[in-house]
Amino acid sequence: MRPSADHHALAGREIGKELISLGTVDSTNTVAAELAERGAAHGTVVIAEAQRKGRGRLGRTWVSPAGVNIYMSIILRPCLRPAAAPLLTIAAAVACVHALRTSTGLHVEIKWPNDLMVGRSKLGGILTEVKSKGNSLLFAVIGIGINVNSGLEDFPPGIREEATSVLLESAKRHSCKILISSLLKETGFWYEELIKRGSEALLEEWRRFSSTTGSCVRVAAGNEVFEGIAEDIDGEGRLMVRLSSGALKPVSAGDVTKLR
Amino acid sequence: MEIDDLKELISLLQDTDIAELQLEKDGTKVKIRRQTLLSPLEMRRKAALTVEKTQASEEDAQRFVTVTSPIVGTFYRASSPDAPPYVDVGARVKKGQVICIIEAMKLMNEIESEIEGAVVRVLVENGQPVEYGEPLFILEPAS
Repeated sequence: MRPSADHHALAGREIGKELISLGTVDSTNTVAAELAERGAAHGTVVIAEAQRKGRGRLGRTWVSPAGVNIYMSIILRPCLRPAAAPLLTIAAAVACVHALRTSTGLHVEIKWPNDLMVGRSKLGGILTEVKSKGNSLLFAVIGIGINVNSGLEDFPPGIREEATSVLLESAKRHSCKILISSLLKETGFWYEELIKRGSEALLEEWRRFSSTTGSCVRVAAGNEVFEGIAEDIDGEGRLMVRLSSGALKPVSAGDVTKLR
Repeated sequence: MEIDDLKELISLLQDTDIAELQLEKDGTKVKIRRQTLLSPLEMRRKAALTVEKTQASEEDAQRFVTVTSPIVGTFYRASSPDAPPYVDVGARVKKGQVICIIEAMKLMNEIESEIEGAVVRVLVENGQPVEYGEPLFILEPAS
């Protein structure tokens, strides 16, 4: 692994000022967390050509073929309580939708809380990993994976039904580099908005892009499974689900499936 | 009906699933209703848990350090279902070592130890929901 700092093209804002482009890595989130441990600056971005062990939550695999998609992790050192850290995922999701809609014209939406969707197919995902000591956040790593130029053959049979790419949706190749530049600009903007002015405008934007709110959903959290109507998200980003009993239940964990 | 009979009746019910009992004898009506809907087994488990927690907080006040959850979320002892736990009871931990993950809204929050020492007790089961400030581990500081 030979990190090469890349200052051109993407300069201007704090986020992405330090850009480390790598070949094949296990996972950009793992590399970024190691760099953060060693004191990497706020806003440092790690980008890889391919990932050997691209991952989602709890060790789930993120398919990461070489040279066609975006695998990127952003190191942040925000002044936030650990409890407010999920708002970083919300900010990254809103930033991704803005960048993708502007650059590709696709109608990208957010499935609560961290999936980027086109219709019922997953175009990208965000995996935020933070490290806390006591009640302070040491650093956060925002991992962003976006399927840009993946062909159908790049997805293993098991996920072909669920996954998509910008290429598959628009029948057109897009430059990862231009998309990354736009992603970093948007992430910088929404991060600053959150830190300087709070979550209000961010949550409003999130609601506008949400494909989950207003739908019937099934929530599987631990041993508990229930269904209801996803009505809104609250100030902390929790999904508010109206149960058949009429009660409104805040959901902060588990897998949410949109029912047909 | 004597008071001793009542006592005996109540103690007889304690290890059963009966939630309510009505008895009429010689013009005296007795109705016993138990407060809980938990089964006897669950009740015992709960009682044991309470005792353990009380002991834990007493010990904590003396020489142990309690690690609490900084957020509401789901507690995980390992990075993935197939991975070994970060720490087990008896394990030595270094300052800054990751000891568990709390997940909230798909955000994985690695919790690190603030002290060097040993794990005395793991207070929460893997995959269980935890509240803000809920005790997760008891650590014994290295002397």
